[in-house]
Amino acid sequence: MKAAVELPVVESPPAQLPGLNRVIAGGLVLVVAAVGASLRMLHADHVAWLSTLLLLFSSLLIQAIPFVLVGAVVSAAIEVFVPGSVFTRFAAVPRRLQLPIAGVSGLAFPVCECGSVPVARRLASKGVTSGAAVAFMLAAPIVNPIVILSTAVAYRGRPTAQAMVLGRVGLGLLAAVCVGWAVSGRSPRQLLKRLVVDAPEAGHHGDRFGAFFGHFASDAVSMSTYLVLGAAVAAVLQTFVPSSAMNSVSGATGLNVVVMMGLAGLLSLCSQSDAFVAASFVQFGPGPQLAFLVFGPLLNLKLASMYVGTFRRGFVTVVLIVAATVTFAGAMWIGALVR
Amino acid sequence: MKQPDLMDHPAAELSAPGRRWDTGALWTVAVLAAWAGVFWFLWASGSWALHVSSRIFWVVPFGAIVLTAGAIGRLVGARRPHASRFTTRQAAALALLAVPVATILAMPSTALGTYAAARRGAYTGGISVTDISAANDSQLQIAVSAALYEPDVLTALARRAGDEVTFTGFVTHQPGTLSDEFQLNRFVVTCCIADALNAEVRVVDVTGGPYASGQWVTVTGALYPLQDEILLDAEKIASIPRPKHPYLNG
Repeated sequence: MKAAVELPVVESPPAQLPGLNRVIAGGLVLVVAAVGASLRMLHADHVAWLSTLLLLFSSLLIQAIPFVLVGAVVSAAIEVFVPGSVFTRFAAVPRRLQLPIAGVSGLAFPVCECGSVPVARRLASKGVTSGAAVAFMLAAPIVNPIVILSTAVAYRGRPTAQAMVLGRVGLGLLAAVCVGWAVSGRSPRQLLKRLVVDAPEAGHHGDRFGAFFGHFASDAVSMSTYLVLGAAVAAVLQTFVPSSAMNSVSGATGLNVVVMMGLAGLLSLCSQSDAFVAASFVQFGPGPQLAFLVFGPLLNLKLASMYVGTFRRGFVTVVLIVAATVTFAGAMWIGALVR
Repeated sequence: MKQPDLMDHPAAELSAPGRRWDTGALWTVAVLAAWAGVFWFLWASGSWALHVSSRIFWVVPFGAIVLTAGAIGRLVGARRPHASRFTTRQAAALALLAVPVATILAMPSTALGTYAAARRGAYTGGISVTDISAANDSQLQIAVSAALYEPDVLTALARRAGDEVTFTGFVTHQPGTLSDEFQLNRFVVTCCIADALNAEVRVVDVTGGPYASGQWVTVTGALYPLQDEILLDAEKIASIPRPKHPYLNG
């Protein structure tokens, strides 16, 4: 059996705590017990903001973790069951075709953005070019059939419905390909970080069962760790920032697009449901709403946290600059066309 | 890089010669099992309805089954010839993942209420004007809220003026409103409550009470079009406990 993610590790090996396993175990149990006890003592149901904050935090995780699990299952299956020759053949496709092909292939992966990150990581580690893996990761949450359908339902009956659906798919695909192109010069070693929880090294030859679950657990735990951090920040913002805070800039052309992109980044909604929230911002025109729909699945707090745990330094900055530029320009243009 | 790890786990002493339990793997199994427990709990208790829409209820059994299978599968492979290091980084990651488990299991059974109603936007999307003539009460409740923002929906609802409906929600009072009025609120959720939007209906001719903010009620009355909004003219109001499914599906 081939070993897990075979990425040369540049960073120094993590510190070991010889003989401290009992302390770690005890600390873990204490932390968990302290959290539970604090909640009971605080009577969260009598403190409205705390109750809302905890509900939002836990709901974001309950909804997102199963999608991470889908991604972890697919990722582990790719590692263990898909022969390397498949990726070698894809790598032979001319680079200028790889990016759009990878982006469009997101049609076949109907999960939200949390599930596409571990899959993209696995693809890059298996030999798919960095640009293609990233283009797939960014496009899949936007171009998949469920998201297209939910966008159409959210806008049904409105004159802008067609423009919103086509604009979202087209602009999302374009932004994904552009970010992919921007990172296409990086090797997997330059792109990917080591996971928080390593997959086990190859067991005895032919132990596919053990290898599959080892990779699954490694991906699921590593990705979920960063998801927890992102969900916590998103829950805080959702609890304390009222949706009406943005109303004062709804008529300011250009600024309203930037504000809606920022809002999408902060709210960290699932791409399968964000269209309903975008449609509720009726005071904003179609351009800002489209910017919300395109930018959110490309970069939000949940994703940024997962990106930081998956990709090396600078990746989030590249996504931010390229995706924001493409989204802003496209949303302004489409917004002017359908006004 | 790999070193044999002297285990704290007593099972290691019982392992076959040359194979021992991997500490990191065991803690990973524990966290996966804890999360599996969360999903089983949500499923068995029905409290998933406080967090996600019934449209994506499938994530709950899916999470429970996949996490259980993952924990078992990882446990089976946790005895290895050479145990790997259990690092501070791994310990921190696993501890971080355990915190939400405690949060979810310890938090009281509560749903979004008046605090969120004052801060979240109104539901406006997904209303099919052609369906309003045959819409049920839940769909009408959403449509009445959307009518404030969608002129076509307002027009379609006006054709149902006088129809008797029963809406369910919790009460809020806006400053400056008359004493015989309140707002009836119900959140509409598409995936999880992070995307919750408020379906808010103005109820007039309120008798009985008083009805405190946050109190769940059912209001039976007639739809009453008034210029640019639809009111609910109350005929009967009953206080109720919070429904098992407190949110409407988007």
